This record gives sequence, C-alpha cells and structure tokens, in this order.
Amino acid sequence: MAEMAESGTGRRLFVRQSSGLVRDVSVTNALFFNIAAFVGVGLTLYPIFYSLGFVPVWTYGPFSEYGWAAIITGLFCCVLAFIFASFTSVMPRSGGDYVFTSRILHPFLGWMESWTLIIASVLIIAFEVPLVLRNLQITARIVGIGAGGHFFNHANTWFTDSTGGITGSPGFIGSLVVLAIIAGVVLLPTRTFHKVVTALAIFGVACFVAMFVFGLLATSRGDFEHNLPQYTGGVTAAKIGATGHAAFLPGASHHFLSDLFSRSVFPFMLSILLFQYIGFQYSAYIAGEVRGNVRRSVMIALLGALVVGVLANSVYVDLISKHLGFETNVSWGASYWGFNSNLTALPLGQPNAMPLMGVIANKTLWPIWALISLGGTVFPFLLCPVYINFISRMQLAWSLDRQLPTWFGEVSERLRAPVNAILATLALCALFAFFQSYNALPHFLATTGNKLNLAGTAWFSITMAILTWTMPGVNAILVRFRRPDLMRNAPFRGALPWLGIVWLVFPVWVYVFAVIKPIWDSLTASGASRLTYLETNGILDAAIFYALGVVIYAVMQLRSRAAGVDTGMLFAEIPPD
Amino acid sequence: VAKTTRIYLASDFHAAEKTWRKFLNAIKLNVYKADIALVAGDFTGKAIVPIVENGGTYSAELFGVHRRAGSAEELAALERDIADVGYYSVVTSAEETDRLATDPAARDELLHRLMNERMEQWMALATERLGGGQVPLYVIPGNDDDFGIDPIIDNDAYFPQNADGRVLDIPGDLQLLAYGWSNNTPWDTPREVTEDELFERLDALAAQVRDPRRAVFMIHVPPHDSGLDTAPLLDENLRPTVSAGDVLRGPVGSTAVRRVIEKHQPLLGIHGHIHESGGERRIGQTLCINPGSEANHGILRGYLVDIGPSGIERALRVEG
Repeated sequence: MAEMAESGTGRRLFVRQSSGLVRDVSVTNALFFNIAAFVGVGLTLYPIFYSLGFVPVWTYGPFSEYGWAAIITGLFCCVLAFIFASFTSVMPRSGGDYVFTSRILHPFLGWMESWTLIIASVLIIAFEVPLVLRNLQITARIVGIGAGGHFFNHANTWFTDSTGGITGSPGFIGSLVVLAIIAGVVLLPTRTFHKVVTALAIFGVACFVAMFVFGLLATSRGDFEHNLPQYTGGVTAAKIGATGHAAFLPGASHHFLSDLFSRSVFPFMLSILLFQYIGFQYSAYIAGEVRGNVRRSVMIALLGALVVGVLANSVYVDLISKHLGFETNVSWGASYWGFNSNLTALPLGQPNAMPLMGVIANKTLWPIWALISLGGTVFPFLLCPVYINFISRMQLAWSLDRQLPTWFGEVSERLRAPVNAILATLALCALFAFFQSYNALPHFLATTGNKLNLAGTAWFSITMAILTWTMPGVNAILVRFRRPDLMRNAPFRGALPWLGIVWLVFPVWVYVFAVIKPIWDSLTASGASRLTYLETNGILDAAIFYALGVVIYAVMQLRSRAAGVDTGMLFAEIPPD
Repeated sequence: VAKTTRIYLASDFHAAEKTWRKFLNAIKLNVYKADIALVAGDFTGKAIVPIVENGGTYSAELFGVHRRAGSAEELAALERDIADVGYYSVVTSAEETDRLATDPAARDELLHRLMNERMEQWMALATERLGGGQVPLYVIPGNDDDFGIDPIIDNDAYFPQNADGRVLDIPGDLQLLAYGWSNNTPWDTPREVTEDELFERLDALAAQVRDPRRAVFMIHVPPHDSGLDTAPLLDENLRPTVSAGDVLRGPVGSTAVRRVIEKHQPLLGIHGHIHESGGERRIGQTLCINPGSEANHGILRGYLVDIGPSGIERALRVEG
C-alpha cells in the first residue's frame, strides 16, 4: 500500500504516494517563463518604441506618454491575470486560449483566436530576427568605437544591401541563418534545449540589470552630447531632438486626463504596449503543471511578470532616455522607423540602442556596453525558440482536435517534438522575412516598395492579436452560462463577468480607436491614397490571414466530414447526472 | 464481418466522480454511438480531504481554498465537490484529524475503506445506468489500484466486466487482451513487476490470441518511448525536474509492452497511465492510443476507434 503523507499545508489534505498527475512548476519558473516570452528586443531597444505608434509623445510627471501607457496597460492586464487565474484553476491545459475558447464558446472561435495569435507570434519572430542582425551590427559598432578597427567600424555594411537596408538580400540571408540557428535550438533534445534557454536568459537578465546600473551611474548627458557629433558627422543631439518637434514632441502634457482619454493619440500608444506585453500570460498555458494553489501561483507569475513589464517599459526606459536626452531618443527612434522626415539620415546608421548611447557617453566602458548589446542580441533570439515551442504545443492541440491534418502534429520519435509543426512555423517566419526583404508583395498589399516594412510587421501583429486580447473577456462573461459545470468551484467565479467587462473595456477601446477607426477613416477617405494606410500598416495582410483562417477551418470541416469524422462529437458536453 | 465496430475508450478516472458519471452517460445516452466501451485502469483516488465538524458547521480546504458548510445541503455539496476532483472526504472532528495526521496506519485503513466504498458506488451506478443495454463495458484495474477493489469489479452482480489478465472475445469479431499491471515505477504502486516479468506475462497472454490483426491489447502502461509515455523526469526526491519554466520530460513507459507490441503487432493498443501524454502513435502496424486523463478537472477524455473488416478505419479523440 502506498504511503500516505501530509500535505505541506498542514492537516488539510492527506495525500497518498501514487503515480500520475504530477504538478510541480514553481512560481519562480512560471514567472521566468512569462518574462522570457515578452522582453525580446526591448532590453536594449525600448527607446525606439516611443515613436512606433507614429503619434506625438508627451511627458507628464516622471514618465513619458509611453511610460504612462505601460502603467495603465499593466493595471488593466492585472484584470486579465485574474481571469486567467480563474480559468487555469479549472482548465489547466496545454493550448491556453485555444482550449478555453473552444470549450467555452465554440471550436471555430477557439481556432480563429489561436490561429491569429500564432500568426501574430510568427510576425513577432519575423520582427525580432532582423533586429538580431541589427544588434549584432550595433555590438560591433560599440567594439569599433571602444577599441577601433576597420572591421568593427564598418559593421553597418554587414547584412545590408546597396541601399543600406538590412532587409535586402544580405539581410534575408542573415535572417535565414538566424532562423536556422533558432531551428537548431528548438530541435535540441529537451534537456539540452532548456539548458541553452536558461543560460541565455540568465545572461540576458544580467544585461538588463547592467544596462540600468551602468546606464545611469556611468554616463552623463553632457558627455553623450559632447561626444555624439564625432560619430554622426557633426549632427548634434540637440539637432536630432529638434527634428521631432513638429510631429513627435508636443512637450509636456497640459491636460493629463484629456490626453489619457484621447481617441486619436493615446490608444496608439496603448496598442504598442499590448504588443510589448504579449507573452506575459503564457505561463497560464502550462498551468497544468503548476504546483500547490494554482490560482495563487498563476496570479503571482502573471502579476510578477506584469510588474517587470511595467518597470521595464516605464521606469527603465524613461529614466535612461531622459538621462541621455528624451527628445533626442524619440526623434532618433522615429528616424529609424522612417517616420521622421526631418532626419532622413539615421544617426550612426543605427537605432538608438541604449548600450550604443552608453559607449558614446563613456567609451572606456566599451566591453560592458558590448556585453550588454550582446544581451540585446540574445534576448530577441531567445524569444524565438520559446515562441516556437509554445506555438508547436498549440498546433499539436489543433491536430488532436482535427483542426489540422493529424500528420501536422505528429511527434517525431527521434526529436520528441512535433517537427512538422515546428518546421511549418519556421517556414512561415522565413516567408515573412522574405516579404520584409524583397519587393515581392503585390502592389495592392504594399504600395511602398512592394515589401513589408518592420513597422508594418509590428502593426500587422497588433491587428492579428485582436481576438487574443478580447476573447478572454468574452469567455469570462459567458462561461457561467456556457460551462457552469467547469466553473462551479472556480476562483472569482462570482466576479468573473465583471472582470470580463472591465477587461473588455480596455482592448475594445484600444482596438476601436487605434485599429478600427483608422481603418474606417482610411476606407472612407477619398483619393488615390485611400488604401495607403491599410497597405503600409499590414492591415490588408491581416485581413488575408483572417480569411485564410476561415478557409482552413471550413476545409478541415469538410475534410473531416468526408472521412466520416463527426466533429460535433469532439466537444459534445455530456451531463454527469 | 459486415459492419464497423466502434470502440469508446477512456482511462485513469482516479475517483473523479463527475467524470465517471459523464462516462457512463456518454454510453447510456449513446452520445458517441459506441458498440463497446473500455476503461484502461486506475479507478482509485489519491487523497483524503478531512471535513472538520465544529458546532454544526463543517470546514475543509480544497485546492488551497477554505470551504465552509453550514447545513446538510451545503455539506452534501462540499462532499460532492471533493469527490468531483477525485478526492475522498471524511467528516470528522479536529481531534480525529490530528490523530490521523500522526497515525499512518489509521490513514491507510481509512483510505482503503473510502476507495472500496467509492468503487462499490461506481459499479452500482454503472449497473443502474448501463444494465440491460447493448454496449458491453470492459474494465481493468491499473497499477495505482489497490487489490481491495478486485472483488468489487469481479462481482457478477455488476454490469462492468473485469477483463484483467484475460483474453476475451468481444463484438466485431475482435479479441481483447487486457492487463492492468505496470513496470516498476518510482512510486512503488500496488501492481508493479519487473520488465522481464511483465513481458513474460503479456507474451503468455498474447499466445492465446487467435489473430493479432483482429485483437485489441488493452494494457494500462503504454509502450516505452512511444510518445504516449512522456512524463516529467523525477529527481531523487520524486520531484519533477524543472528548467526554464518548463518541466523536463522523458519516456517512462514499459519496454516489455513495447516488445510485446512489436512482436505480436496487434491491431490496436489501448493504454493509460500517463495522463499528460494522451495521443495516438503507430508502432509498426499497431495503432497505439493513450486517451490521457483530465478526470480530476471534470473533463472526460476519450477516443473513438472505428474498426471495420479490413482494420482500423478511423480514430478520433473526444472530450466531454
């Protein structure tokens, strides 16, 4: 007879020793998983995100508009954390949102939500991969500035074509090499994979801390402004900052509340923050393995990740940016995206990476800046295999539910992973990298050079994530009616509909004013530029993938029916009594 | 054989009341239009929740949440909630709870009693709901099941048939080889043998099979390294090894089961045991299935397998 033992919580449960149902992911592990999933290029490149929304960036009190957006988004995401904590307590499953929505509402909605999330995630990978190359260039430039050497000082020519763009043929080949290395990591045996990911993540986190400490204590704005012109052909920090005054820098907020409730500016900033935060909830997808009180553990992991996210996107980036010149940072970042027409020549030919600014301000510490920049290369690289791993789990769940052919989710005997799903994800990443590199898109999809630009990729991803952000709220409102059996003992079950409503207010507000209204305005505009907004922001591409999702679902339904599979049986709810 | 025979299979209920009731209703209400129903072992639960009575009120802690009941109806609801997640409950005093906490023998005896009571109730409920129906239900105990439940599932008064250690003719011109023991586990569970011993027992049973291509091997433990046996890798303290926020996993199935399947190549292999490793895989000509289990979350996981004259026509994962 198996031995019985007390639980760690006293005399509340007597557990017998037996096999199966092992749950032992610690809170720390879950927290770490979330952080690894959302930091990406931000570690060194957060300042470039000030201008990604292409809207004016005001400041109020200690924070920029971006920082305030990070705080407000973080507060609302706390509500989402409560919803996930409740769902995962009663449905701790692999597959996350796909499982929740398909079981609570309808398999079609579950499919569409997860399909669009996967495309959004693949786009984030496509967004990150060229920035891995950028960070390699930046790291080399830091070495060049610190130690000299033609090879390093001309790193801007690495991976670039004749136009200097990193997304031409050399950039595409470089991206394929990065994707191949990512594939190599993803397909490593499980133990080795986790060792590699852990080592890289520890290095990345150490770089985070180093950038914050050395960035604030070992540099001064005076030194930065004094030294900058020698690397920019005489362009001063003040001049860079001045280029953004007309479009990006209205100065301090004069009406803080009015600015927060703006329907034309602030929602864009909030949508950028949603783009930055996606991933903070991913440990909810491994909740089946979280030990102890699932609700408490998931809450701590999600809220902890949010705290890190808020601090990184407000205190961390705002303090360092203000320390070295806020206006310079905003205008320089806008120039990187191609939004700043007053600063067409990108300073140093690079985005305003924090360690790059650090080496300009304090050259003697170049080895530290180079190491931090290398961390900035590692974190986006690290995000990719973590995403692909997560995506393959969801694809496996699809395959088991006959949303995709079974061969798609087959697990390789040798590699212990759904290789076809992983390869499909990598192929899709390569496809997006291709469209970022070559003028291959039809004119109606990309009027500017027939290619997908990086900002367009980011907005494409934001558009694809609508269902990911909204469906948890809908599920929270409807679950008590749709699956009362599952929710009878769920944490916060009484409050869930209200949590759902409160949460929904946020993404609906953001998406209505940052995505849908601009689309509507664009469609109702007159003239030849009617579709320009949709083309340059990936909206049409997103529409194609939404339509593709519907088509795949319909085809698989027909295919299943032809094979004699009654998909209605898959999720038939059976009454226990 | 003219028609297709549909097998409905599930496993590892682990005393989860709601899921067992769903399973019985799935057959009774003909939800899946099954011709045969199979359960691949592990009926019993893993924990007791003491409900402490104090002055007419009852309190317990379930998943870290403090629960209180002030009436008979509320107490019944609390007991049902505990049963639904696969735990056993006992109404007791604070003093008795303290005594149980320090008396392993008393806990052991209590667990035996509760396991057998739940098993009796389940077999009776199965008989009530399925008795007189057209769908036979074959079950086996699993490695986690104490031997005390054997007389209960062997009882002819109950509708489910204990197929453990036997080769039976079942509808569809098929034979069922059934075995609930496993290879050795770190948990020292009741029904474990060495791989060599397990192979000998299974091989001897397989020798009784007329035609492996018309046979279903229902063996609780899945074949080793089949993808149906991927479980957390444990450290010396029986704790899963965790790295980078994810549990390290590896194959923990039986090499003996794999050898038997590779040697005899039955039409279908049905397994359980590893809850988190549900799915379907081919080993040679044999389709092996582990439906997985989320019984303790009230989710009924199963598989439908259609077998026609020329073999398996389709396999479909279902969830209720």
